[in-house]
Amino acid sequence: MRRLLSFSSLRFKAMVTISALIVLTTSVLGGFLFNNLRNEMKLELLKWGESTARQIAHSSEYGVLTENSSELTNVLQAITLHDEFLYAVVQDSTGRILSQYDRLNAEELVRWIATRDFDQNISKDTTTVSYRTVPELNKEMVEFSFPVRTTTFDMALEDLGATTIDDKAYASTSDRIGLVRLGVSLDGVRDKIFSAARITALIIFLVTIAVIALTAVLVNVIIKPIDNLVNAAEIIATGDMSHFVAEGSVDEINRLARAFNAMVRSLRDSRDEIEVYNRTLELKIAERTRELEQAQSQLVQSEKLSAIGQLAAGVAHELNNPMGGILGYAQFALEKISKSEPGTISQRDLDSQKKYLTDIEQQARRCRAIIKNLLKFSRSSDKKEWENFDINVTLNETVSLIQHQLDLGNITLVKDMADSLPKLHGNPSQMQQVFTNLLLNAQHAMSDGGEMRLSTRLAPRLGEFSGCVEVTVEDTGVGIDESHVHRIFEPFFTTKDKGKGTGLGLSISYGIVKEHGGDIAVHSVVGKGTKFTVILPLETTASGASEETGTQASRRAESRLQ
Amino acid sequence: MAPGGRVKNILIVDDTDVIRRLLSELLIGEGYQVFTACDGEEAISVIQSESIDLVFCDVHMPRLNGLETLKRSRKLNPDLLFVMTDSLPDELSEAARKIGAIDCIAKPFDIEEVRSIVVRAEGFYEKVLNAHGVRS
Ligand SMILES: Nc1ncnc2c1ncn2[C@@H]1O[C@H](COP(=O)(O)OP(=O)(O)OP(=O)(O)O)[C@@H](O)[C@H]1O
Ligand SMILES: [Mg+2]
Repeated sequence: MRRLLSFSSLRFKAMVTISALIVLTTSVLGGFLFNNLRNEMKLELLKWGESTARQIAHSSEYGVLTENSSELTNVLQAITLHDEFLYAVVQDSTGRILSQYDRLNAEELVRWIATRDFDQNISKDTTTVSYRTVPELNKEMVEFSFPVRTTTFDMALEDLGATTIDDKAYASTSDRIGLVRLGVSLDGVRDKIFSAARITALIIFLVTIAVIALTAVLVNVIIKPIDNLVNAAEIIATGDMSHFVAEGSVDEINRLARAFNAMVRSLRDSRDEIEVYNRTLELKIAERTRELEQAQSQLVQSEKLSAIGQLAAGVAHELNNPMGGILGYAQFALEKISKSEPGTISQRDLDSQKKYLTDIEQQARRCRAIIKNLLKFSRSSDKKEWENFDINVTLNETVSLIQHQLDLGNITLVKDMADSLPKLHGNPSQMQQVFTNLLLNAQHAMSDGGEMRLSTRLAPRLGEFSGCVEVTVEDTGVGIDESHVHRIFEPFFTTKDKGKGTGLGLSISYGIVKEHGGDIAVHSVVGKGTKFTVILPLETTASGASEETGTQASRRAESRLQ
Repeated sequence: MAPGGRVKNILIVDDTDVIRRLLSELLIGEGYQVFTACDGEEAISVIQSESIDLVFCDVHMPRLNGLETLKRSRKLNPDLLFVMTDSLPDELSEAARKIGAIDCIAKPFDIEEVRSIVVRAEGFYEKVLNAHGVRS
């Protein structure tokens, strides 16, 4: 109901439109009816006036012929009963007034009226009707005039055989013996018309009111449920889902209301669900996160364990062979000594004792080498001790250490070093270890000699690195069997004789390079040779850039621009 | 302890030189005929060409590993006696026994251990031969 006054409301618009339509149609209809009624009344008046005038004219025939005034006054007496007849005049063919009736007692006026249009009116065959306003009387009226004719003369003319039109016309004009004039007031008609108009207007008014009232009721029946829906929707829009719409009786609206209620219900359900979900979501997330963290730590733990386990198994396996030798030969030696007679040790026994001891010593050395290499794993490099170093210098130092061996093995080393490389940040002695391993591996792959190529260059941006140094060690040796390529970085993987390689060289090197943020790649063709590529990033940590060269600075500026 | 029994020819399979030498010396000292192989492939070819009675076989070897060598050898000669030698965890010994190894010795082993295993192998060999005798 609060919307009733709003000009934009549906109710207001419906009411105004429907009311306007009703007023318009009833007005048009009323106007039409009123007009019809007025015409009808006028027509009736005309007929009445005309017939009365004609009747008077017929009745006056004898009176006019005899010029008997009292006879004519009797004739006129008939009309005095009606108020509408203002006056009546009977004139002879010369216009002389033979008799008159004058309700208004305005003799002068009547006399004046009688002079007007006399010749014109008397020549007519029919009633002449003329509307008049008589200013002196302030009245509107209609005058009916009808000629008085003599029937006897008519018949006499027909007897004479006047058949031509001219004859008839002559006869028509010549039988006129007088004229009757009848003045009829329009007041009565006016009054009747006015009262008719009033009634029509009243009816229009009443019908309009009734119809508007009815419309209001109808509009209310239709609009009210809609209003309710709108109100409910507004309430629900504020988040109050406890509100429902009364389901009314108008079928379509009722369906709408039902649909609306269903919608509100499902909306409320889903909101409740969302609320519940929201409430539990955080808990769930926390729970999941905890689970995930647990799983992750378990995974890391188990991975660590399995890595440790693998390493332990590898270490045990690697150490057990030389230990087996040591144990076995020691037991042999002890057996021999305990069997021989005290004081009498034969030369043969001495020889075999020496052989056993040599083996024991060898195997113990082997154990020492393995353990020494293993310790390199445990020595995680302390980054605080990292320094800026020139990789070319490190490589040259490494080469000088093994140069003698290379010469013995009939190997030519070709160096291809890039000038003025930016300095790297890291542990140079660990780097020396990496390249010693690679160079020795290359040497071992070329037991019959060959060419070894060591090169450095500045590599463009690679992966996440904005720039890096690339070192390659290439040989023309035996190459790596395809089935071995993916295993060469495993600890203890070796194809060398047990006495020669520990299989730890590449795995240690890989660990060191990874720690420096770099990577090792291998490309090998069996029978042709092998190429190891070591990539070392220019920037591994923020501290690594403390002493940067111009190239690095510009490189970094570039990467910042990207 | 002298090889008065049926076991005569022993094959030693190991990729480690010192183990091969040690076992050879030990078993030759006991009076057996000893053959050696550096890996499984080599072992198979020796088994095919010589009449081997007992094999001491390492598990971790390049090319063909010990367990595969055992399987393939038993296809060639189901009566062949196998003793696995390695730093053997229990599961591995179990697996080896399942596929027919008569025994396993873990490195580093005592030489006495090896000797007693050969004695046990002699016993096994008797049983195998008897079984054949009954059958034939
Ligand atoms: N340049 C190369 N050419 C051919 N094979 C290679 C080369 N470098 C490495 N390998 C193969 O990778 C294996 C593992 O090498 P790695 O350096 O880890 O151990 P190793 O050299 O065998 O032993 P160690 O380094 O202790 O002497 C080698 O045994 C060899 O088979
Ligand atoms: Mg190496």
